Order: sequence, then C-alpha cells, then structure tokens
Amino acid sequence: MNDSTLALAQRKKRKTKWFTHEAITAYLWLLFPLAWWGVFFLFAFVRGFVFSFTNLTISISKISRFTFEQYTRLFADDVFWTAFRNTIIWTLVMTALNNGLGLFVAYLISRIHHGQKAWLTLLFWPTLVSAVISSQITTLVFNPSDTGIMNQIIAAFGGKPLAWYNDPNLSLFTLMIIPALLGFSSQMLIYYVAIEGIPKSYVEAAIMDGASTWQIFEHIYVPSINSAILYNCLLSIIGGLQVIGPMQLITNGGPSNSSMSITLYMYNALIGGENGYACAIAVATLNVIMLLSILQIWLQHRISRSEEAL
Amino acid sequence: MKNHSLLTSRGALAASLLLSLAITGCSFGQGGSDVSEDIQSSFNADTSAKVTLWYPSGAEYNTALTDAIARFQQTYPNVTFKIVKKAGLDIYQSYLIALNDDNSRPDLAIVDHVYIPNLAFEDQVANITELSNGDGVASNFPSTLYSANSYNGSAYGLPLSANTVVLMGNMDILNAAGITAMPKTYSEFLADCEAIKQKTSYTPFAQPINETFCAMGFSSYVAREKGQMVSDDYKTIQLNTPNVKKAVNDWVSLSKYASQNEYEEGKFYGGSIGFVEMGSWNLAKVTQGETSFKLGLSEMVSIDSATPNYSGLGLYSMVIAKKSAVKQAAYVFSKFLATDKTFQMAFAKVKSLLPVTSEALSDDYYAKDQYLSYFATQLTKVAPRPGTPVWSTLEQQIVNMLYGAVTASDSAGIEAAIESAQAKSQEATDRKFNG
Repeated sequence: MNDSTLALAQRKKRKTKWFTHEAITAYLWLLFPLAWWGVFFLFAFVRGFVFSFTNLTISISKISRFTFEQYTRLFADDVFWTAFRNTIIWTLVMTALNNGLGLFVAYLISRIHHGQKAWLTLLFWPTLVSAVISSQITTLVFNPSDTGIMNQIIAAFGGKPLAWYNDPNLSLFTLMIIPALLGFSSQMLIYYVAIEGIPKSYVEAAIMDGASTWQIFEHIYVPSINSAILYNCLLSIIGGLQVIGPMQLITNGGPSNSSMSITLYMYNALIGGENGYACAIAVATLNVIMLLSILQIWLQHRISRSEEAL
Repeated sequence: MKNHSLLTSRGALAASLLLSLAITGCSFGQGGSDVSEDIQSSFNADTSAKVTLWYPSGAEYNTALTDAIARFQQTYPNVTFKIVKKAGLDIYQSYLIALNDDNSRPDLAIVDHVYIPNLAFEDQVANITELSNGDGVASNFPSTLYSANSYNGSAYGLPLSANTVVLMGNMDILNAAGITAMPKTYSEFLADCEAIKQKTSYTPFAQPINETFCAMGFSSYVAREKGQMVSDDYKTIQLNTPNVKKAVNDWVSLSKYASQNEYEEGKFYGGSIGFVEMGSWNLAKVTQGETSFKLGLSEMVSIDSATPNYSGLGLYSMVIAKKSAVKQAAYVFSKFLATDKTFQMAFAKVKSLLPVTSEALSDDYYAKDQYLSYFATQLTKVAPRPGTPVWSTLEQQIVNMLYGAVTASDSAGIEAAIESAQAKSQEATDRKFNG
C-alpha cells in the first residue's frame, strides 16, 4: 500500500467515524426533537395502533377485549370506501394541479428579468390565507342559492343555477376548485429555488444547439429539479391524504357522504365515541402514507443512481 | 473513550424515549376514584369543596356567573370554583377528550342534551336522580325539559338553557298572496305555500337541507305524526315505521315549496321568503330593525287535531363527571344555576335563548313579549331529539335520509332513502349495545 492509498483510507476512516466530538454534540441536541417525537408521535402512534385492536368507545377503562373487528368493519364499510375514493381523487387532482401550476408559474417567473420577487410575493400570498377563509370564499363563489357569484354568472348567460356543493355529483369537484387554483404557492416557491439553481451555462448551451423551449424544459429543467419535483409531490400526496378542512367547514362530508374524506370520517368516528374504529381508520391511512413515502424514497434513490450512471 | 461516548449517547437516547413514555403515562388504567356516598350525604353549608366548571366564554356570560356564584356562596361559603372558559355552549367534544384525563376533567360541564344518553351509557356522568335524593328538583321545569336528560329512567343532567322553533311568516308576502293570517294547521300551511307560489314571485318556504338542523326540525314532524324514531329501550331504530314515514312525506311535501339547493333562512330576513320555522336566537334581526317587513308569528302548525303541535327542542344541560370527587357540591351548584330565576334570565338573554324554569318562563319578559311569548308557550309543547347512545350516527342518517327523500324522483326513491338510513342506524345501534 503506497502513501497516497494509505492517506485516502485514513481519510475515509475519519469520514465514517460515528462518534466525533462534533457528532456527539449534535446527538445530544437531537435528543430534544427526539423527546417530542417520542411523546407526540411514537407514543401516540403505538397507543393508537393498540387501540385499533380493541373495542374502545369513549373510556379506556371500558375496553373489554382485543379484537380484529374494527378492521373487518373497515373493509365492509361503504362510507369508508367512499371516503377513501374521494381522498384518492382529491390527492391525485391536487398533486397534479398544484405541482403542474406551481412548476409552470415558477418557470415563467424564472424567465423574466425584472420584478421576480414581486411576482413571487404576489403569488405566494394565498398560502397565508387560512382554510377557514378559503372555505368562506368557496361558499361565497359557489353558493347554491341564486345569489351565489357563479350562479349569477350562469344566470346572466341564461343557464339554470347549480347546487354546487349541495349536489352529490358536484360536491367534491366544487370543494376542489379554490384549493386547486390557489394552492400552488408553496410548490411554486420550491420549484423557483430549484430552477434558479440550474447553471445558466446548460441552458445557454442548449440554446446555441438550437433546442426549442419545450426541449430545454424537458431535457434540462425537469432532470435538474427532479428532487424538488419528488419532494413537492410527496408533500402534496401526504397533504391530500390528510385533507379535512374544506369538507368539514363546508359540507360536513355531505350530501349523502359524497364529499366525505378519510380524515373527516375518522374525526366523526371520534366525535361519535367510536375511538377504536377511529384508530383503525388512522392506522389504515398511516399505512397508505408510509407506503407512498417508501415508494418516493425508492424512486428518488433510483433516479439518483441513474443520474450517477450517466 | 470511544466506548464511553457510545454508551453515553445510546443511554441518553434510551432515557429520552423512556422519559417520553413516562410523561404521557403509558397505561390503560385511570387513577380517578368515585367518592363514597357517605361523603356525599354529609354535604352541607359548612362543607368545603372546589368545583371545576367548564363555562362559555364571553363578558355577559361571565357577569351572570359571577353574580350567581356570589349569591350561592352566601349559603355555601366554603364552596369555591375554578372556572375554565370554553368557546361556545356545547362543550361535548372537549368533554369527550377530557373524560380520560384526571387532571383536565371538569366536575361540571355543559353539553347538548342529545349527547347525555351516550355519556350515561358509557358510565361517564353522575346519576342526577340519585344525587338529588328526592329533593323535587324536577318540579321546577316543564316536564319535557327535565326528562330530555334521562337515560333508562334516570336523569343524568340538569337543564340549563332551552330553545325551540316557531313558524315565522313575512306578512307582506303573505298579504300579496291573499293570506291574512298565519296558518294553524298543516293543510292550511301547504295551501298558503301554494298561494305564494302561484300569486307571487317569492319562494314560499325555507327548509333546512343537508345540515344537522334538519334533525331538530324533523323531530317535531315525527312527534306531530305520533311517531317515534327510537324504541323506548333505545335498541331499535324505527325510521321505517308508518308514522315516521308519514313525517318524511310531510317533509317532502313541503320541500316542493322550498329551495332544494340550500337552506334559505338568511333570505327570509332579507324579505324574499314567505315562511321559515325558526328559533328565537335570530329574533334580534327583527327587533333591531334589520328587516323591513312585517313579521307574523305562530306556534307550529298541527298536523292532527288529536296531537299537540309539537316543535323541536334545543337544550343545553349540565352534567357532572362520574369521577368527580365533589359530585354533591357540583350537584347543589348546578341545581342553583338551573333553578335561580335571576341567573336563568341573565344567561338566556345573552343569546336570545329561553330559560328552563316554569317560574322564569312565566315572567312578563317572556309571557307578555309580542315575540318571545310564542317561544315560551311553544316550549311547553316540544319533542326532544331521540335520546340514544348512537345519536351522532342517527343524526347524520336523518340528514342523509331527508336529503335522499327530498331529491328522490319517486316514492321508491323515498323508500330507499328511509331504508338506507334505517339499516345504517340500526347497525350502529347493534354495535353499541352488543359491543
């Protein structure tokens, strides 16, 4: 082994050493987030998981047996499956629209030379609006009465007023409209930062080679920001699977469960004193989210490896 | 050195996890204990107790309570209070969460009466019938207001604040349709709605749709049709019985004169709806000059001359935690709040609701007021929403059933909506009682 090989091996050994002074300090500081992770997540998760196998109603002291009944009920419950279907539709639509719009707007902003910050600020603004206000906007615009803004527009063109969120066929679609149109701000900001990180020379070289705008976008922008795309999509999917606000604030899942989401259904089970069932719904939802997270990590890892190979 | 660091870090991580679990108390069992009846019976004017009360926030509510406590302490000087302010009157949701926490559970809380059967079924609230020990507290209230808090023959709450619904009419619209007086019967009501529809451009009626207020309104139709949505032993749902079906059909008949898109209560105050069945809580819109039409009021119309013209009942009641260590003190104080005329009237006025004692209801403020008198009289003829431990499910199923019935294209659709609600409610009931 020559000197340079030995030095490299020693450097590598130092690099992979776990317990340096710096690392120990970091571990000690990490105990704080670990403590509240333990309290607010791990403990709650374990407890909820255990309860999902009991006949818990309101009082823990009245648990009389461990059972799989909550899960057999879950699989046979048509309202749960309606809620599941609605939640998946919501998640897919929101993930596609919020990310599509966010990426498109971020790309457009990156192409302008003046006033980028003003555009970002302006378009990021809706993120600061609470779900309550957003729901109020929905009820104002899509109010089923003939005084609702959209119904007035329809009437002006000679159409018949729609029941919007009070129509089982339209309710979920109606709740999606405002969040879809205004909910892209966070994604936009992340995409913008990612796009700004792309070396200008790549784009300039492509332009010199005669690449079209679409080709530049497809072959330079998208591969360069795929980590941001995956991250944004994962956040959108998790947020979508946990959606409750618009349903709870506007329709309470109705009419006839047509806008019920999994989280709202779980909440209603809790309010109805069916805590064991609510825990089973929570565990089922968490499993779906975990599966998607694992899929995302695997996908990201695979993309990184294929990039390295190139 | 390396091993020492490794041990230190791993030890710290393990300690952190154990601490987390210890903080949250990882156990099923709870430490609360029932106070013995011997101690209960020895409660008197000299007994010391500290009662934790969950009470709605707001300056006017606070004034009413402060005054009540001062007068109560003239008799019971050693009873002190910890007042925990809560947003809103119905504290059921917070109460459900707190029931398993010995540190945050109140001794006395306010809940919508419909949740009391479930709390009693789950053995979470004290038996008021036992605590009252035959002191005759029930005689202070119109009978329905006291019995609405019952489960299996015992009371589990004392009434605090009531409300009910009467028929309100826009007399300008009614006059334009050739109607000179408010209807008294269901057939007159339908005829008036038809006249408004034919002779004016206004919507005859505002009917709740796709919201929980439906359940309160529908209860009155069921009672007027002599129906019963739940059996006396709470174990059988009866939505598909003939009399309840009649009530559904009454509801559907009226829906032809109302918007099926939304509940247009707000439009009534705006002057474009003929009738609405509404409570006193919105009277201020009329009395404070927000409306520009002449208001007509009448009790609920009767459907059958042999049956009283029942209305729905809204009732907030006080419950005492089963695990409270000061149950008797909490009972004596809740009895004071429920029966003290000064407190009752002060509390009711905050939200334009109604007091619960016969004495307060007969006060001129209610009995002789041109509007409130209708509500006070109607309160003697009310039908509570059915007390059942599965009320949350039943309420949602009633909403779904009425929506399905109103939007059904034929009688088969109505029947299907009823049967679906019946099946789901019965399923929840079976699950509740059979574990």
